[in-house]
Parts: sequence; C-alpha cells; structure tokens
Amino acid sequence: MESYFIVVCVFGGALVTHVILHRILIAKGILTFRSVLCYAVGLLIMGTLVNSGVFLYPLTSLTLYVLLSLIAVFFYLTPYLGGETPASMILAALHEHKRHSYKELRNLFTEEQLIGKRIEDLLSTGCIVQRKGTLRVTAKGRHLLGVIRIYQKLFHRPQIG
Amino acid sequence: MDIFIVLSGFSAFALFLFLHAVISRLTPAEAAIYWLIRIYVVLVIVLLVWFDIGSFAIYTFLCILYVFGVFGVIEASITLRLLAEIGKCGKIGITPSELTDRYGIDTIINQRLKRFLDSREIEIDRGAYRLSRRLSYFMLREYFLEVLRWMFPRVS
Repeated sequence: MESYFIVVCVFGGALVTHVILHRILIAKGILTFRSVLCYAVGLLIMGTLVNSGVFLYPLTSLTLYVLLSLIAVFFYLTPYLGGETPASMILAALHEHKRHSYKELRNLFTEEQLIGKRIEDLLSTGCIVQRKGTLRVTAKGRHLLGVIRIYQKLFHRPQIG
Repeated sequence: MDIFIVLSGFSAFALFLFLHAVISRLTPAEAAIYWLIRIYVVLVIVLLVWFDIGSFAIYTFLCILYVFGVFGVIEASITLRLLAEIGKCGKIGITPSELTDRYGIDTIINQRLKRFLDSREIEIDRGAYRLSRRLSYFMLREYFLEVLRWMFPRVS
C-alpha cells in the first residue's frame, strides 16, 4: 500500500507542476503541449526510486505511474484536440436556458463550424485531398479507415459520429 | 507477486474487451455505455475479492483510457464519420455539398438528441427540449471537462 501512496504522491507532484506551468505559460500568452514533459520528469523520479529499492512492487508502481500519466495527458489534450463538441454545446445551452426548441438548438451551429473546419483538419493531416472540387481519401486515410472498420467489426459498432 | 499484479490487471482488461465484444452483439447499440459500466463493475468486484488493489487500479486506468480514448472518440467523432463518408465514394470522390447532404447539421444534432433522449439525459416538454434531473454519463463528463478547463485555461 505504501508503494501505491508514493506513486500517487509522485504523480500528484507532476500534475500540480503541470497545472502551475500551464497557467504561467498561458498568462504569458504561450500555449505549448511540451508542458506534458512534467510527467517525464516524474517518470525519472520513479525510476530513481525503483533503483533505490523504495517500492515493494516496482513493476506495478511503474505501470500505475505510466497509466496515470497517459490519462492525465489524454484529458489535458481533450479540450484542445476535440474542441467544443456539439454534444457539450447542446447540454450547455439547455443548462443555461432550461428549454430550447429544435430550431433554437440548430441555430447554435453553422455548417462551417461543424463540417468545414473538420474537412480542413482532414486535408491538413493528409487523410483526404481535394482535386477539382472533389474530396478523395488518400492512402493514409484508407489505413485509418481500415483500423476503424476492424474496430467496428470486432466490437459490433455499426455507426460512428 | 509484482508481475502477477500487473498481469492480472491487464488480463482483467483483456476480459473486459472480450465481454464488450460479445455483449455488444447481443444488445442494442445505444445501450453500449451502460453495458461497459456493468462489465467494469463485475470485474472490479472479482479483482478486489481475489486480487490486489494494484490490479484493480491498473484495470481501472486501462478501462478509462479505452472508454474515453477509443470508444468515446470513435463513437462520437464527426471527423471520422466525414472520412468514412468520403471513403465510401472511392476514387470518384465527393463534393463538399454532396457530403453535407449525406451528413449535415441536422443528422449530427438529431443523433446527439436521440442519444440524450435514450439515456434520459434530456426530455421533451411541450415541444421543447430540457435537461432531466437525472445525472448521467454525459453530464458527468461535462462537469469533468469543466474542471479540466478550470485547471488548464486556454489563451484568453
């Protein structure tokens, strides 16, 4: 149990450092994802502690730290990568104004915001190309679609989006 | 003992994925998230009764990464759906306006409203949508994202 407590403390330290560092950088108008390197520093500390024999279960402790860090990095990136999702906008609107008709909810969105921006993202990541006004999937996009189709078949998820 | 704890955590997660794959073939697609929670809880009980708290933590963290990082992303990603729709047209391709005819704002909003109605997150009251009092997965996620936005504010 002591091993796990140390893992939580090291991770907590990395997380607090990350929050402080992010806030300092944001106050200066800098947005950099390199601030997640705080967790790499935490991993170095974990490695040192493992070598000095502090942990009763070194492999478990390291695994827990790595998983916690992955979760922290994932959730840190979520608001930036995912942006404001339509689902969260609908819930926020209903939370604020209590009642909304379908028309009012629909007016929250524009085609450019929902579709246009995402097509631009697909173009900039090289998953699709646009030639003579027509969109086509590239080899990279086909690979990604292949992975998604395997997932859909494996877990029987017929519809995405 | 150390390797056993790690292996039992990963094995429980593998079993979680296996049960998810089996149960999703037998249950409606809309109920997937509730089945994921049920499978998770059953395996947590097994892990806590027969194994170590470390196995439980490893299993829980892997489930969190899967549900939010894979399942949630593929399930709700508009970008991936657009890619799939473009992919269906093969070498012929599709114009942006044809694409929005197939998958436009109305489809996107209706799907989300249906999901919220199915999970009883929202309800229809005299022709208008409103939040129900039920606290659900989606609402918890929103509260959690609000905490994240407070912790990691964006450039103002």
